[in-house]
Amino acid sequence: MLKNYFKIAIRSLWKHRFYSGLNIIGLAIGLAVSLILFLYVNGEMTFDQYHQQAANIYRIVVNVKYDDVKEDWARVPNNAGPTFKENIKEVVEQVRLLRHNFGRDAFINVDGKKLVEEDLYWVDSTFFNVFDCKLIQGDPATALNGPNKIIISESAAEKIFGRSLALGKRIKIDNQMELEITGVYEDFPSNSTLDCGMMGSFQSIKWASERLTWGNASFETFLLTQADTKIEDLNLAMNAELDKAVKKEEQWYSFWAQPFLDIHLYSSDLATGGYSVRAGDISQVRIMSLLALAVLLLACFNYINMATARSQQRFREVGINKTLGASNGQMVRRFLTETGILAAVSLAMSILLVQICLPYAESLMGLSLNTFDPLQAKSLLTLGGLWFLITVLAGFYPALFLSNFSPKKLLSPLRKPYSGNRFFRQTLVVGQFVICTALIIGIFVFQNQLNFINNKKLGFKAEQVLSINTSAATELSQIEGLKNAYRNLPEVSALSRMQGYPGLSVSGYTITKPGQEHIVRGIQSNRASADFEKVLSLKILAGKSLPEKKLETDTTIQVVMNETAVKFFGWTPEEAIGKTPPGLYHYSATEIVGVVEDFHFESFHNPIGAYVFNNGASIGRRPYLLVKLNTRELKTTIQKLEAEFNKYFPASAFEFDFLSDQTRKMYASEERMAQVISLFTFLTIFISCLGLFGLTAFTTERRTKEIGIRKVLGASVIGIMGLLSKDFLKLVLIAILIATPLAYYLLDSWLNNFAYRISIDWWVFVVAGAIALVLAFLTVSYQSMKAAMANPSNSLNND
Amino acid sequence: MIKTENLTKVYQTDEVETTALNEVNIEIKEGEFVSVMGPSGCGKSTLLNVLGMIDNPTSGNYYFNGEEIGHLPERKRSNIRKHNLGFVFQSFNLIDELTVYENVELPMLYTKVPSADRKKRVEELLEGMNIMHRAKHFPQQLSGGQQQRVAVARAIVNKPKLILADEPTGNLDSANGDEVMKVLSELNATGTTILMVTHSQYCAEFGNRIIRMLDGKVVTENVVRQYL
Repeated sequence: MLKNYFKIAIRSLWKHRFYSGLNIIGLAIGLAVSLILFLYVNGEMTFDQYHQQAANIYRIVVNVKYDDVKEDWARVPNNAGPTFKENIKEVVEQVRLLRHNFGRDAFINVDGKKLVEEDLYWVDSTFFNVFDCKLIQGDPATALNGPNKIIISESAAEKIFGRSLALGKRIKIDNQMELEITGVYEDFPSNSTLDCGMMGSFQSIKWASERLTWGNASFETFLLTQADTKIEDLNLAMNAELDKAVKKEEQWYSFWAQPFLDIHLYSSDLATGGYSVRAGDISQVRIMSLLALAVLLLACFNYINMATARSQQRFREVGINKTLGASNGQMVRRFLTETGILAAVSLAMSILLVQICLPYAESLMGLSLNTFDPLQAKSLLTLGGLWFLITVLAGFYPALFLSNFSPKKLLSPLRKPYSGNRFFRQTLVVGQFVICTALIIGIFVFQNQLNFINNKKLGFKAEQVLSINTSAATELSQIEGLKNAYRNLPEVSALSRMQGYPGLSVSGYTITKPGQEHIVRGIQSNRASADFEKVLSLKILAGKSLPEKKLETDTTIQVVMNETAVKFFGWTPEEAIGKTPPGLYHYSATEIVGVVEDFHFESFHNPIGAYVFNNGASIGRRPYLLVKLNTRELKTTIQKLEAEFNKYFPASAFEFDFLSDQTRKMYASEERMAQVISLFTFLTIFISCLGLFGLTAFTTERRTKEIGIRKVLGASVIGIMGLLSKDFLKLVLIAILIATPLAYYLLDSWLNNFAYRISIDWWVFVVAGAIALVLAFLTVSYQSMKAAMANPSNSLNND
Repeated sequence: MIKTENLTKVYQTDEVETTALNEVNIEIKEGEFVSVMGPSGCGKSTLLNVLGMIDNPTSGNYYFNGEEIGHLPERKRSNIRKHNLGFVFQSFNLIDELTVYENVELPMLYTKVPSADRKKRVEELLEGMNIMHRAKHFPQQLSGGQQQRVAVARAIVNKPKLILADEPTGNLDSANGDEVMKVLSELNATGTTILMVTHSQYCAEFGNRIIRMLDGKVVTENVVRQYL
């Protein structure tokens, strides 16, 4: 019997190859998209699971409170880890991670080669006790157990040394430290939050390893706990330790533990995250899963629509089979077989599509997806599941519907053409276009918000500003020489040394309200030299910039604060000049010399906070030389800058960034999202139009005779086209009406993620609706025009 | 074999109530060849549907082999149908996706006849109908007469006790029509009961009794010839 089902199904699919083709293309695209998204979602959901002790690892987070602001930071003071290990019985091990210069590139000299390492970390020697990290060369017990030791990843070793042994070689970092390579470890897999390219021993950084405090929250710290540890107990125990160490009234934070496996997807709410750049976002995973499901459903809707629309032809078959003795169940199985075959062909095609499209999908989404091997047991299981899902989702309703046909209609002289469940089909078309229209609206809103971000006055100008990394300087004279050389270039209009710039994190400090020392708020502190306001095009509201020269005897730190900071103090910009900002730099001698207008040093997700430029020698390093250019001849200018750089830094590579690239990075995920949504919209529209195309083809086929008669009676081509298109366009109109409030609600809540956002304009809905209508009309009109233009004698003789 | 008592079928559409069968009382004995005649809309096809167990009567009784089956659920009717009845339609109603061979074989799949027996039976019938050479062809590739012979072969493949034929020659020219009627007569001669609806007096006379219907009622019954 099954053989028979197969035979009929295959022949029937072949006989109606036009409709089968439409269905297969739609399903294959839908499946390919869902497969790719499944790879993404699966990768995100299994992140970090490869660590054997993953379930017992926690990251310490501090909840910082000041003013009415509460923030979570994933970096904590260096005292926390060791103290907790010492005093909390559930804590088996601790490991602290410090990213080199808080995320700055490291300049490496090794084996006569100069290179830049972006992912250098300083880690405790206990790293191996907590995480799964396999040393290919070296001994985990001794690799990091003292100062000036470093282990490097396998790929770094290959890059630097090729086939020769890395162990025992000496490596120079930023021309300042010299370390010995004591190990080579297997690269971390792409689904690992840990992204260290090199790991130096924690003890190599004296200020971090020797001066233990409860103040400087800069260390990402992980605890390995006993298997049965309750997170609430751990939180209580950690805060009890804090109470022992820091007086209650001096505490400005409390501790909590974040499960290691939550880090990847549930850290986007942290104001300061961990050091890894491999951060995911659960909301993105959810959106992607929803989109995948939507596309899959759309493709299934197409199938259901066309299968039930063609029921007229199918009923005859059902009728015959039933008079010959077939039962309902047998008919259901027969139609499900057909769907199953179609789904299998679509699935095979989608696998091919995935193989072709995966690299593009990766670059579009900005992720590295796991390679897809359809022959792997797990993939086979997934594919089998997907096949089953599609077969049931798309096939079940039509199978039930068709097999329910009573054979008596086959013999009835009054047999009326029965078009199946029209209302149901119309509902599905409306559903498809609701999704399409909502997505089109979504594209517009995404794009508008991105344009708003790009065009909104950032408060500073990032264009034509270059940041050059000078961390490799060993002598001040190198930097001074370079500065002077650059000043003499006509293409350079201003320059300034800085600790960081908008888009990069700088140092976090606190300030207090004058006279109310318990009211505290955070402030971002950026050590800079004179002319920083010229380089960044900041507007000085009162006072002046930082002084060009500072006497060595002058121990006062001069600062230029932003408006938000002085407002917190309750001063006008003018009033602030000459005053000492309360609480800043732990009450060091500080003088406000200027106030600048607020600017967006973080993304528009966050409201502008307090910010201060300072010239305190002990407040932070200034690895960047920012250069403002006044020319559009970028290529030759950069060559000149590099030539000068090489004169003063013969041992280092010339590393630079455009500030505008950096600011764009702040919105990279939104831009990516907009691209992904655009692609999805295109695909959903394509699939929906495919369905509509098939449905119109069917309707015109069914109404051929009517069209012929109407034409004989004098109907015009336009009239007939209108007649055939009207029904479908009505459905699209209904879809637009449903999509509008739905999209408004969803997008409005998305926009609420931004501290600075657009309001959604009414025209967006009108334009999106018009696009959906026009697309639907174009799809329908091809078929209806063909039918309307046909010679009526053809259609009338058809019967 | 068949007996109806006040068999009535009423169709209810939105506002119109149509009485297709109005208290029909007929009896058909095993081995008879009965033709049903009457103008369009007189209820012939409805009668065939009800007697063919693909429709339920609104009221009245239908005895098949002594058992009242007019009000059985579809599942039970289907079971009786596939073992006892064969259908021949005016428009042949062959399945386009199946070959001649497969079309004839199909009813035996539903009655779970073993594969070897199926093959033997199909070949025997196709030989008998003189269309064995067309076994691998699809219905669209055959002439009308050939298609109807395939349909007849399919109708009798399970050796039904009763064949219901709905205008079997309606779509055929006279030569092909004659051929089909010859086949039906031969079947009847071997003991198969036949109930045939037709417009053609010529065809009706192949039967041994003619029932005439008008407005859902049986108006006359003529005996054409008596069996010896």
